Amino acid sequence: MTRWGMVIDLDRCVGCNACTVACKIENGTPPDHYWTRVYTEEAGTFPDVKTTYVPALCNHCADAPCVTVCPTGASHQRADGIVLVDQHKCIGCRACMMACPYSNRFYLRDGVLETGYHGERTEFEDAKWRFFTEGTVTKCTFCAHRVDGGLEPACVVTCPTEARVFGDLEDPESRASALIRERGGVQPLPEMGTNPSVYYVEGR
Amino acid sequence: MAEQAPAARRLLVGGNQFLIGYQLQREWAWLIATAFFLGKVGAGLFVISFFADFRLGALVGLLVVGVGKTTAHLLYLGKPLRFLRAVVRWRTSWISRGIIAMALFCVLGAVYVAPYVHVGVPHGIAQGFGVAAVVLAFPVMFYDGFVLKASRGIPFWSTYLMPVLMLFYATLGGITATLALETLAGEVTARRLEWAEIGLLLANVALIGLYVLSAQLRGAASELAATLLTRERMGRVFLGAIAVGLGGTFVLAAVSVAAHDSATLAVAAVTDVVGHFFVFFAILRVGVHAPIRPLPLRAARGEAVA
Repeated sequence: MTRWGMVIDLDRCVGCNACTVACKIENGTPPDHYWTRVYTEEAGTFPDVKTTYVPALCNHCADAPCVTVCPTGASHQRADGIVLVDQHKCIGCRACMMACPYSNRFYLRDGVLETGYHGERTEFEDAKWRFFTEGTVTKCTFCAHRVDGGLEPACVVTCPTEARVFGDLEDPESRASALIRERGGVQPLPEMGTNPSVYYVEGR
Repeated sequence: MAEQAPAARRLLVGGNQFLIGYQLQREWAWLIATAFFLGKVGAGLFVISFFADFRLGALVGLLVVGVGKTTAHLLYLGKPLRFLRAVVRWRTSWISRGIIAMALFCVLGAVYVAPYVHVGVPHGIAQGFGVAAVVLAFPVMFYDGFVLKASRGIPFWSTYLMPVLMLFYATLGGITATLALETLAGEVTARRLEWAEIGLLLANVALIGLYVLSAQLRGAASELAATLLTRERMGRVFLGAIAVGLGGTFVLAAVSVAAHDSATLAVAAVTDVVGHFFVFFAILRVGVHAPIRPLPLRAARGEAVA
């Protein structure tokens, strides 16, 4: 059984946010919706200061609390582990946003799709935004439409430093599994018991 | 001049700041607090009125849940016309379970109060439906607590103390509302409940204290939420609600018991209801998401971490 996952190498990420832009172009997300983004983490005090860039996205958790709390079944998990939201079933109760420990869900407020980024909607926005419904919750899909076609997610292919590695976590031979094994991949907030499909590696 | 310690709210980051940090939830506020409040008080009022054989109270409780709570929920939903879909995931979702319990409670409760509004239902049958409605009123009283318990993203809420707190507050609200309605209606069947109210006020003080004090056991985000609740952002609202809702009501209820004074009881009902609403409103508003990477509060405050 396939379980899609991602390994993010924090030593490679330079914080360019190319993944953030690639995601917006691929999925045409509305204003203020960043399905993936790069957090800046600063640690230490002058002069010993270190900045780490931490890309974040939906973790497509194996034990996804957002799926459990959803009263309608709009939030669901495919057999390959990808967690999706059915825009036609979502009632906008936002319980999933409270359940997600990673703040990776976004609510489409009324009116957000009426105008484009720069006033009148463009043809691009018309084409992309037909997949969105105001009053519902959206999130990263792991680019399921690309994965189903044998491609990798847009954020992965666009990363200039190859900080993101996508693969089957159930396949011990995949590059993602090897990275987790060899470099001690850690899941975000493991104490939440969600078993995320996104791992971070750092410290060569 | 010594550097002033940063206020706890400065540790919070906005969703689009792209910074690792604690994030305040901004989605559940007035309408959800209102829905939770009306569900607890309405179902509590129905249960207490049933045992006090006070049909007017049962009718009002039913309306508070069936009309008040339902309306607040529908106003909140992004897609209210799809609300019927919310019953399908009862195996895992407390929202589904709560809605089913609410719907059944309203139907069964309506049969119970039917004779009171001159609808021909035999007394025995109405009483039987009343018992069933009371059984279903209990989940209506506490299911919101399980909804919050299931919100793993907000560790401050995610505790089994939450449904217990909801149940106790619902019972207290039910007793207060029953006593107030009886006073207005000129009935006295539930006067003995004044003592129960005083006991519940003390129990709720202990439960709220336990809930806030146990916050640090649930991690740094929960600890920060407790700080926001008691000292900063919502401190005045929360502590004011405790002082008015529990402290003020306790004094007024004690005076009412001693003096058998209905006017004092009516004021106590108001203080209890106001305090009840704002306690849970404040708890909702200080829900904090943890950072995706460990960020100890001391480090976030710029203090040395061993």
